[in-house]
Amino acid sequence: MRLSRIITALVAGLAVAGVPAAAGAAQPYPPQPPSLTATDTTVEIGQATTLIGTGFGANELVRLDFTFTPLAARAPGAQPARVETGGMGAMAPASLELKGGPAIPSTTVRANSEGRFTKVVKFHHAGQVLVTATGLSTARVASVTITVFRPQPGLPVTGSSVGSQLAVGGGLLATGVLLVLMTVVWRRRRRQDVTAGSMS
Amino acid sequence: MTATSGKRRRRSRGRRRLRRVLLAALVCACLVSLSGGWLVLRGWQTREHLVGAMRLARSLSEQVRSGDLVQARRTLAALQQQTAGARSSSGDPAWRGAGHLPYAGRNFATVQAISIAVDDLARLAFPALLSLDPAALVPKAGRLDLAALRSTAPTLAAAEPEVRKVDRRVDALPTAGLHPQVRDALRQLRDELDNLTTVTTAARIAAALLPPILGANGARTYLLVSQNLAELRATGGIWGAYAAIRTEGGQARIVAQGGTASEDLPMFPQPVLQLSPEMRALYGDLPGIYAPDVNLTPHFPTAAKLYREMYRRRSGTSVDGVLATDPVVLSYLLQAIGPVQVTGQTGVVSQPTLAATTAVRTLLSDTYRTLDLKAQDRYFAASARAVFEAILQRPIDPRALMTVLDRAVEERRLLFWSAHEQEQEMIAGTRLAGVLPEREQVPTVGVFLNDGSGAKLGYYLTHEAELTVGDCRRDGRRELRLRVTLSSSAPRSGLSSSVLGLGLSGEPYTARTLVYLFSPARGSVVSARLDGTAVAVGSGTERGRHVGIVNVETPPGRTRVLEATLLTPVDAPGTADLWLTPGVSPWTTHISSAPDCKK
Repeated sequence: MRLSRIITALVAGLAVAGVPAAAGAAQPYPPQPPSLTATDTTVEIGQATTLIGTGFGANELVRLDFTFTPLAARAPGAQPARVETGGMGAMAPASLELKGGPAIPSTTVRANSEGRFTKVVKFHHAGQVLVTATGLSTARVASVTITVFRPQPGLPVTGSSVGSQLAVGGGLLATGVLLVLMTVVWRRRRRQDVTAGSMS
Repeated sequence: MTATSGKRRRRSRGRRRLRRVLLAALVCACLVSLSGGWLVLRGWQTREHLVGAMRLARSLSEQVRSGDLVQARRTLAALQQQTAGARSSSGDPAWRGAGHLPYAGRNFATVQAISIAVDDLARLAFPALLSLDPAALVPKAGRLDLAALRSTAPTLAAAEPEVRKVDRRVDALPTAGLHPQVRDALRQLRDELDNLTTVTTAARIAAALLPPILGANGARTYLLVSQNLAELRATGGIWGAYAAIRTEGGQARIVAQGGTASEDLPMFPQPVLQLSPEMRALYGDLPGIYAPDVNLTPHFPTAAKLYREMYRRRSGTSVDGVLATDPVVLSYLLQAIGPVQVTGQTGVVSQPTLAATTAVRTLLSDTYRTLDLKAQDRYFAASARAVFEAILQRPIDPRALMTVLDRAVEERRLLFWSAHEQEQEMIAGTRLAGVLPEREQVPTVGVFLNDGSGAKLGYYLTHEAELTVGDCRRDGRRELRLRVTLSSSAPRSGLSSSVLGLGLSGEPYTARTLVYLFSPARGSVVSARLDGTAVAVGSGTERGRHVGIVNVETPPGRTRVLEATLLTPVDAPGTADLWLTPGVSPWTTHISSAPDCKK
């Protein structure tokens, strides 16, 4: 009795896990919302973004591959990105440093019972990174492209405020020069006064 | 004595010197006032000639558009007299000399340059434009006069470089330090030149392309597809119905008709053409396997190529091109040709007559609400045929037809792709081609809508877009802030299953819209917020642009606000532009530019 219940549950589980694969294969005609998204699709080097995967199999292992393309080129190249990942999803490792190189710097993450996972990633090279998530049981594939820029020195500034800053700076400089000159003149006059006084 | 005579001599010498000085001053004053007077006279004459020329140019443009060529030729002769006058009165040596004066000199030089430009246009460009009779672009008794079109093609081709030459020269004139009146005149001339460049380019392309397209060099076949705006796709809507049109010797006729979603073009097991990895990452295999999804991409040539191949696999015919239109264009055409009776379908729909004011509602709402699937297909086919016949057979005012077609192209509702490479190259730079450019002068943000609910709820959507050019970053990029508002006026109940379709949003009356945000070329999409809350964004690339995808579900009566931050490429100007999916109702748009970044 107990064994049959377990088998039934297992079969049901397998059927549920198989649904996304079947759905993925059949591809209903309207486009579906993306299965792999990111909180920020453009980041600076070292800035974290969270990858969110949905629609994968319940508790499925999902492999994340990273393909890096320098910003100037258009076609996705094969050079792997140097990536640092820190997990937030169910059973995901807390933090993982993956070095670039000829070896594939992929990582895996386990989806939760609803087929959802999240993963925090940071990149160490400027360029465009194609992140591809592949469900290891369902073979479901989804991707997201992250643009990585070099960090900006200081805060962004508007064109007009640069002008006003320059104006303020220039004004201050002029005031300073004027004050110095006045001091010199005043001191010279005082010295002259003193000399005149000693002569009289 | 000696002292007295010496004093006298000195005094008389002094007087003589004074007299000489006075005389010299007088001569100088006379010369200055004479040349000043001469310049004023010449200036007044030049102004009179230019004002007269401007008035005549306006009448000329009206007469050309209304097809009154006899009157237009007279106006042109008068116009040429005026421009020659302006050229000669601003071209004499005194005027040229005044051009070198400090301060005011630039005004003289600019007026002379304007006069020369206007005269060049009147002599070299306008006569060529008059050689094309707009009536030749409208079919008479079902046939287009190809011989007339062909004979004007070389003349028109020669006019365009002349206009461009003048345009470049006028563009190079400096505006700083000009008298307000001269600056205004220069600005007006630049605007007119922009218009004229567009017109000459369009006329040259039309004269060169229409004859081969209409079968002057042998029969051709085209697919005319109707974009169903009730189910949104990036270029407008799903290509619901098609008609294969055969052209020969200036005549066109429908040879086959079908429906995209019906058995005519069912789903293919594999993509019919190889899709690039970036296309597959954004849209999966859908554009390659299913006809209603070919235009998930906003790049029209890709969609047209896929559709052509799907049609070839089913019919065995390789068409020469694809022309896409939509019911809104149909309503514009009905304005020009008058109402059309849809025969053979009376009693099926409450509005058997298609009229400009009701066509969109009849085709995109009433039909789905009142007819079953088969009857819908029949009605669409019958209405397309009725309008097509009316355009070919009825006498049409060429001016009205040009105006509505121009509007349709401007709104990106009329798109064309030619399978012949040379012809495609000619149109690729125009709005008609729907080419998503890989390089651009003004950073352009694309907001493309793809329906994700599998329903016909797009009919009830209204949309607004606001784009603000923001801060300059230290790396030379600019921040762009985009705000897209989607509202649904759908009812909460009472719609038929045809309208509600697959209802994939979970709630049948809620429209699921996948908003594809295309960054400017070489720019990027940073992040997005929906109704003020940060949302995760799907992302990919297409044709050198970073693409962000956000799912926006709009229940009936609700409004959703999507805000996104994007970046331009390095060294972008302070201006920006929007490219939007044309919908049933027009978009409300607002673009706020900013000054260029300081370096």
